[in-house]
Amino acid sequence: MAINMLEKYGRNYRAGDIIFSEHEPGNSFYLIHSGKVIITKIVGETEKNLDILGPGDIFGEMAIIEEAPRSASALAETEVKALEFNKENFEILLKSNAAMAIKLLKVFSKRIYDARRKLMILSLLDDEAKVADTLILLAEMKGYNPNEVREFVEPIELEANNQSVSSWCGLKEDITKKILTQFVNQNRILISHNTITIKNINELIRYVSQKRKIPE
Amino acid sequence: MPIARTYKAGSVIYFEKEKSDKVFILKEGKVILRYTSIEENFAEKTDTINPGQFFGVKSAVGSFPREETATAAANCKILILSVQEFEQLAAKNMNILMKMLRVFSNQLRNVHSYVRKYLTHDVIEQRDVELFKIGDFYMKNKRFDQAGYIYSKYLEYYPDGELADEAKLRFANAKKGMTMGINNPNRIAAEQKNRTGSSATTSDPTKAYYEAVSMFSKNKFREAANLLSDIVNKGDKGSNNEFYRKSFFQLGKCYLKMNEYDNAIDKFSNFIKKYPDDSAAKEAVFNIGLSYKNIGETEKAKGFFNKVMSMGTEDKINLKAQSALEEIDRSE
Repeated sequence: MAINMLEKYGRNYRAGDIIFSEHEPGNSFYLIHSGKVIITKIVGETEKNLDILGPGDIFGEMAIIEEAPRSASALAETEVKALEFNKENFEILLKSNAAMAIKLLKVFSKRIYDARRKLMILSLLDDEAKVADTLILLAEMKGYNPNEVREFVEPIELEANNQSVSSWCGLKEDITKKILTQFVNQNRILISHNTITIKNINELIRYVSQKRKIPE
Repeated sequence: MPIARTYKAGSVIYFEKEKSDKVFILKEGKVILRYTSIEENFAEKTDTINPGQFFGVKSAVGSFPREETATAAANCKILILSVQEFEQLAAKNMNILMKMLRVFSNQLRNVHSYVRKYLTHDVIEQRDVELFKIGDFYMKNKRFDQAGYIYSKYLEYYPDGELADEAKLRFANAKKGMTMGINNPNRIAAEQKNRTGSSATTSDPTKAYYEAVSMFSKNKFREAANLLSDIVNKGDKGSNNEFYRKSFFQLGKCYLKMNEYDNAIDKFSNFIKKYPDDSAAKEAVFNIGLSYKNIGETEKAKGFFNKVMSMGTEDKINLKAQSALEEIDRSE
């Protein structure tokens, strides 16, 4: 890293400092020079750690795309030195740093896929189908590949609850809860504290694709 | 090593939903990509790839299944690369890389706008209230430093917000918690050392800064300015200290509030010189204009307001500059 870049864009944080908080307007993104940054989200009464990042990692990159509120918080886990960029000056950084540009390319690829997958859920007309498709998505995020042919259908245990499902499918929590309870009664899923178990994912997939076909 | 392969017209290069880590460059011929556009109501769409173009990049580098089926529309010569080989190649061709980044960021922006359309109003809650709630979480968990940050941010973004008075109160409470040092044993030790000296507040720039923000929010601009001057006069010790930078800006705002326009102009001009890329630079330019306007130097004021209009994307500050310019025109 060129010294003048550090001088010009470098910011220092002490351990425990908030670099940005969820719901804050997001105007800049960061490249970690030294130290560790932890990405968190407060869900109900608990703080969930989403990721721990180190030197060379980037975060807050959605600020380049759009001025939307931050979806998660970034906190300095140790003493941190990071370079701060905004929409106007980030190309300077990328042009001088191919590794970083490639990293960003990867992050964007993944984000496009995730956003399209979310769009598939949201575009369903029926609330039950939205919840069912969210459960399928959560299974995919755990590594389940719907295109792989299996002889047996094993139950899939997800680390999820009413809140996390609700935030994915864009439905209110009380509606999500009602539908999840209905799925339990229909013997499709099991719910225990912070886990949801899908009994037969193929059945859910069939159910969702049926709903997708009849948008009148 | 990249592999060169030929495909006969009509043959499939890869299928939708396949998982693969290969990136393709078309050397000769023509390739058609067929896909379902989720954005456009699941319409069947096609894209044409011409010689020199890459395809299969996104799913390979993002390691997710192919979103399209690629078919040779004529006899083709195609170069097949692993993700690693692609990265090596891209690193040497910054222009191609930047172009791809632009395409991807446009796609991402586009798909996000569709996602937003589906989220109904009752799901998107008020941002200011949500931010305030984060502060509550930290307060409850006795993480006063972090709570202090949230409430000071709340007051920065929403000085006239519904919860502003409550935020000021909580900010003060968070600060009390901070002085007690419950959440940071290291800092207690540091503070005990400092307590022998003059006031403990100025020894820690962060604390002094928050103290000043709190004074400012109570309209005690003189007290705030004194605290901020202390921080600024100590200098940033060669490092680009976050709080030094903020204090510099805030000090200018204090002078502006106290109608000490020469001082305000001096602070904001220096701030811009020192931190031309800071997100607050535009506001600093506006504040210089405002200072000149208030001392009757309208020509200079106009110059700075016009500068604001030319800086970055249009926002609230542009509107303020616009109306200030109109006001000057009316009075002339």
